[in-house]
Formats: sequence, structure tokens, C-alpha cells
Amino acid sequence: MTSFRLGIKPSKKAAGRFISRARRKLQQAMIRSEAQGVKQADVAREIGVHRSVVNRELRGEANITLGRFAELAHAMGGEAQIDICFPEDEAGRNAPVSSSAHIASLSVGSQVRSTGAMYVTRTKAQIDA
Amino acid sequence: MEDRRVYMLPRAVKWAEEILPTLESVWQIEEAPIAQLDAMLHDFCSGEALAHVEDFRCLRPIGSGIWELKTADLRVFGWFYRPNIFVWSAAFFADAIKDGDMYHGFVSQAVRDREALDLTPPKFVPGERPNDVVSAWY
Repeated sequence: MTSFRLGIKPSKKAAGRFISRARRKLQQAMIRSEAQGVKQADVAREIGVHRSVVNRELRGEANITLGRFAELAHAMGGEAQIDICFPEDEAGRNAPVSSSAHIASLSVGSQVRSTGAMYVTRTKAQIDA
Repeated sequence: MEDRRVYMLPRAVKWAEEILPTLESVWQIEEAPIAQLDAMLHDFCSGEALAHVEDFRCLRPIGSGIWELKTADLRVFGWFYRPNIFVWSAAFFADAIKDGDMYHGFVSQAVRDREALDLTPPKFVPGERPNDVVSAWY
């Protein structure tokens, strides 16, 4: 079985994964807020944009600045937090992380979590071999 | 978190090697499509909770067992051989798929791919609900 890795610069990989984590935090915070009666339209009104703008940002179809991340978190009733994790700080972690990978993490509320696991894709003609 | 895997058919490998690096975002966001796909595959394989509809959804006709994994600019077509095990048949630019009404063609192609593979039955997870195919979602 052969593994496959996308030909992407490590720095771009780190950025893409970081943005994805940040966006997931916002999506999950939005779901939590909606359960408490706060709608996307309310969040948009709070930060002074149209609801479609917030929708695109949460769907990944628009860039999110650090400032907007904090604004959205605030409008959802949370507080944005930020952290940078170094591999040597995480004793006992055994996920394969490249030696230069320092994991940045954004979160909403008090839950800060990072993941260093790399995806593995495989080329395989017979899936169940 | 649950371990997940993605298997790529040769067509998918060729596309990822030759076409994907040349693509630019139609949304003009900072993540190029290749970075979007890397993040999506990373999140999938590391067992992250996935956003139903935004990240993945079952395609019509319901019952075909064909799903798409999604990024802002890309659509990845395939099926779940078992829960958390996705077989990637093909991928394409989301805008082109929607503009050209190409969903039916990609679904049919994935079904043909699946039929052509000598897999131990059942060849795919028949369910259409997120719980049927992934271990964590929101």
C-alpha cells in the first residue's frame, strides 16, 4: 500500500490547517449560540455586516481576520483565545509532527486544543486487501 | 478520536498531482485549493468532528451511496466503503460543477468505479445519514 502526500509547502499546510481549525471553532460556537437563541442574523447585526457575510466566513468562502474572529466570538457570547504550542511542550504526544511544526491554535471560549496528527491518504487498487 | 482513512483511485492521484497545484481560489481567499484540500483531508483522517453539509453530504440519487467531501473551492466524490473509510473517485472545481450541472456525471462515474473494484461485500455503506458514515460530526 502506498501513501500519498499533497505537494504543498509546510508553511502553507500549517496555515491552511490553522484556518480550518479556527473556522471549525466558529462553526461550533455558532451552533452553541443558536441553541441558546442567537441566530446568524443577530451575530451579523452585532458586528455591523450583512448576514451573508457571516455565512460566507463560516463556510470558508471569505477570509477571516484575527479581528473578525474575535468580533464573531464576542457576538456569539464567547471570548477568542490564542495559543502557540511547541512540540517539546507537549510531553507524551506521539503524533507524527514535522520537527519544525509549531502548532498554533485559536479557540472560542476556554477550550484550547491542538492536533499534530498528519493525514494519511493511500493509493490502493483493492481497498480491502 | 476515531481513525479515518481515505483511499484514492489512480484518477484522483493524477488529479491531485497534476491539476490541483495549479488551481486558484475563485473566492480569492488566502487558502489555495491545495491548502483547503490538505486541511480537509487532515481533519477527516485525524477524526475531527465534521460539519454536515458544509464538509460532507450524501448526493442524489439517495441510495447510490455516493458522498462528496467539500472545501470552499473543491468537491471530492466517492463512497464510504465502511464507516470512516472513504474511497475518493474524483475531484473537481466546485464552481465548474455547479455551473455545468456536472453532479450527475460524477456520481455515475463513482458508481461505475465502485462496481469495477473487486471489493469484499458490502461494497459501500448504504446509509444517507451522517451517523451512518462518520464517527463525529456537527
